[in-house]
Amino acid sequence: MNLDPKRRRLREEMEHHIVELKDQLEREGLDPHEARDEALRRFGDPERFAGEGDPEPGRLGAFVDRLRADVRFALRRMVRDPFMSTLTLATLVIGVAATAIVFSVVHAVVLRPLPFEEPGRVVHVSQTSPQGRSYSISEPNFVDFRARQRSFTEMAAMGWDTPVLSGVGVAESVEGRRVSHTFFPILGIEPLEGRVFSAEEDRFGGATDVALLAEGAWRRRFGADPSVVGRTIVLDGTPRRVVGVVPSDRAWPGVEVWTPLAPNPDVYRDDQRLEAIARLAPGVTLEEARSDMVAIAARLSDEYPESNDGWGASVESARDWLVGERLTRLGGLLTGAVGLFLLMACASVSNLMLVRASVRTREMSVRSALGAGRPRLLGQLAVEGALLALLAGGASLLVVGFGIDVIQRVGPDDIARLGDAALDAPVLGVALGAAVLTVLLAGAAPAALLARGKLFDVLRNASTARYDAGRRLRDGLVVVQFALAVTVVCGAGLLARSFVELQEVELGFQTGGVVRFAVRLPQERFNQGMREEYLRGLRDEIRALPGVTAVGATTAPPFGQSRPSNFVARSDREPDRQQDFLPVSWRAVSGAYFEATGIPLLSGRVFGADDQAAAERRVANPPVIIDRALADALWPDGEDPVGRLLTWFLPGGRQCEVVGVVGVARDERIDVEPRPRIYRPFTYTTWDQPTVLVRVQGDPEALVPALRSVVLDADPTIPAIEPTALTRDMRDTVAWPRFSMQVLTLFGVVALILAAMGIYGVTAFSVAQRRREIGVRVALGAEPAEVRRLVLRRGMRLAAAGIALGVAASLLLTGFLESLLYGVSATDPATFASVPLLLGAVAALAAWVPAHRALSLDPREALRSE
Amino acid sequence: MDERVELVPGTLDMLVMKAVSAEALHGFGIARWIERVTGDRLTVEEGALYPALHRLEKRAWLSSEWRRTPRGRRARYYRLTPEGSHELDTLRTRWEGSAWAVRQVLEAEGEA
Repeated sequence: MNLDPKRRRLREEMEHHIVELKDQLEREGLDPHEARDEALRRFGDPERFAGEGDPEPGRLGAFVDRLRADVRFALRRMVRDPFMSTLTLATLVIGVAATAIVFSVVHAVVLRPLPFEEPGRVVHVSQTSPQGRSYSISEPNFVDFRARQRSFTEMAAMGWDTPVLSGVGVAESVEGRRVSHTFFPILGIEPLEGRVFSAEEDRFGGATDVALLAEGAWRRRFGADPSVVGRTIVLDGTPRRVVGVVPSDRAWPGVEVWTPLAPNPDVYRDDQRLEAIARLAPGVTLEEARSDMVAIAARLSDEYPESNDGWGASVESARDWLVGERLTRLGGLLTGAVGLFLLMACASVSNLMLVRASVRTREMSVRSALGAGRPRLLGQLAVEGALLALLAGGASLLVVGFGIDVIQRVGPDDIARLGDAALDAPVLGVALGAAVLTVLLAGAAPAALLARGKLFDVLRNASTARYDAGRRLRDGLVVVQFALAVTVVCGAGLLARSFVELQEVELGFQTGGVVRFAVRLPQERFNQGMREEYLRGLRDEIRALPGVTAVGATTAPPFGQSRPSNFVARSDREPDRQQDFLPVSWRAVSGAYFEATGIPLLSGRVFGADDQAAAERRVANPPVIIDRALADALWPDGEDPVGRLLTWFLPGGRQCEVVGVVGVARDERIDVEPRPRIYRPFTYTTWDQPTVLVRVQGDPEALVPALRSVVLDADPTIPAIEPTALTRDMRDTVAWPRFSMQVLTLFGVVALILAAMGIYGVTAFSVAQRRREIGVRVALGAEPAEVRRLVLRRGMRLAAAGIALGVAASLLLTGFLESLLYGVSATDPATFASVPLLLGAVAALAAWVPAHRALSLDPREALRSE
Repeated sequence: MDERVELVPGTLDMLVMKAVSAEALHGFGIARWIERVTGDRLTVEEGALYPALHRLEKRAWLSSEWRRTPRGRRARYYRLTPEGSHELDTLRTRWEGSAWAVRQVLEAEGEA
């Protein structure tokens, strides 16, 4: 360090002073090492005083010098007090990283505009049942809606499809969608290569043998070869010419091929499988579009009463449809929790800054006596804050990158655009902004006190019992922290309990030991007889595999996407209007389905081979099996439903005979009471893609390779689609609740840590202030327990106030959690009793450490420290 | 122990000058001397002491030089200059005058 002679002299004088002070302390009985430390502590840092004097104002060089000195000083101070520095930094990093991670996910999934042109004008149209629930649209209804509407520039529909792609590597089922030719133009998605579908290609009976590739599939399967346009691919055995490549992956990740919808105006109007979208015409509001659609639905209800009676229509923004209420809600929850975190981090950092300031009381007073004015000290505080923000921001970026990675790996698969979350510019901005904001807020308290000239008063007089501004502030911060921690931990506790409840739900069937897979039997290639032959052959082959005990078939696998519904009534009390029929879910299953799934037969019988044949021939009163819930709903007097008739509303009000009653199976959604269920016999005519369920003794996963090869042996063009153990499907159905719980639990732990740091800081601070008083008490022979109680009391009182406040706030806020909970009330007494206890324990622990330290103080030293 | 007194504002210069009026002392010695003669009741803050010394020297009321302490350390010793001696007298007279006045007020009997 280059010093002018004047400064050098001052420094040498001060060094001499410290040496003399140390000698004196040694004579008073400290060992040399302690004496040196104590002398330094009392005196502060001679290096720094040397740099203090009155700076020559106005010179940039001087400013830079001073800045350098300030930075060096701030760094040195951090190094000298590693514990406090680490605590402060860790608090900041936790708060900032949590904010940035959550923001990156919420931004990618919820906030970022949909990847469409003018996404706010794109809407989703659905049909509403007489009971008011939203349903998809049938092909004829879509055709009519599109022809009659006056609110949209255009309408389009989308249907699900998982065709088998062959001719490119091994035959494999791929995710696909059937869409109107208007679909991509409505969204403003331009093809990367070639063109999108033409109107002619979208006409029923038209030149529909074309396909579009999604960009991802094009790159993955065709090496981004532009000459793919014009090539022919084979979907479900049908050759289709590729006409273009579309960048659709961001909106529909996983979808590889697009084929024309070509809606058939003459299929059942109640076969609702299409999702309809539209672009609002200029000047038309969502409300106007809604009433337009409702009016059309009302006319269709009059024109086609047998299918459309009582059915309405609804229009919502495409964002609500694609992003979904659940995600928006979760996003809000996470953002809220993270906001609380930043507040907690602010409180902690603020407290820690005050504590550090208190440790430096003497040094600060020396510096102000030396003529370092308030602006100078504020500058020092600012430099220290900036340094803290920079370090914390930098460190949190590492955590953020890692955190995003983890979330993408463990998050549920069905969150569209989760993969978009990245450490990009907005996230960087938020991380840095959060760090700066936190430090600013945290520094505001000390700075305000300093600006009012009260910092030294606060710090000096702190040992008196006077209730000063600084203390009130610090206490308030700790109370707020505990309140926030209680809120977050209560939320986490409720979700965790809810998750446990979900795990223990009685499913009514046995998922263990079952593998499911689907096979694709496209109508173009398989007529009824061929399907029957194929499936029978396949069933016999699978049955011959070692360990297999049952092979069943169904139209919709347990926990699958498809949840078909219908309406039934007792034939002897058949109502006139559809509203009065009972909504049910239904499946078409083979007789062995019940054995394969383990759903118990309660009375009557399961389907036999004759039933299937009868259903195939459309005989009068075909057999059905109902579950216990439906039996109780239709025959509440306990009559045996077996042999009775019920009317199956669609298609066309057919009467069926109940041949058996089985147990209730919760196989659609685990967290919702199942709808009553009706089973029809599985028929070979109607189902393109049946699901096969195989019950096996031993590990079902181990059977998968054998299953795959058996299926390929039966027909090399038909692969087994997604052979999966049912237990895995079940895990996936609770992926969402699990994810919410994991996230909030993590948050709870973080909140606990932050709160613990806060109470630790404040107790340590009060101990530092009361060293003298404690020393006197110990010297006068106070019992250790008494002293400990003295120190603990204040911290615990603050914690108690915070906990009480937090419980009150949680009781108000948990209403927001209600929809995420299963089997647990939002005011669950067990949670609300145990969380305060937990936080109380944490508070006691965090306050005990400094209290313990206070007891180990050497009375002599404590007395001298003033 | 608790009878410690605060340094009355504006008196530091006078105390320091008095401390070095009899013999030259270094900074630490000045601080110790003041503590000793006040029975440890009055402590001079180091942070205030050295700026004061430098200020007084600048006004030529003190002079200073490097010397060895009895234990062989290099230290800056201060002594009072003739001008400083004169200034000390002035300050002392003024202080005693005002101290007398304050006492008269505090000890006054009768009506307020």
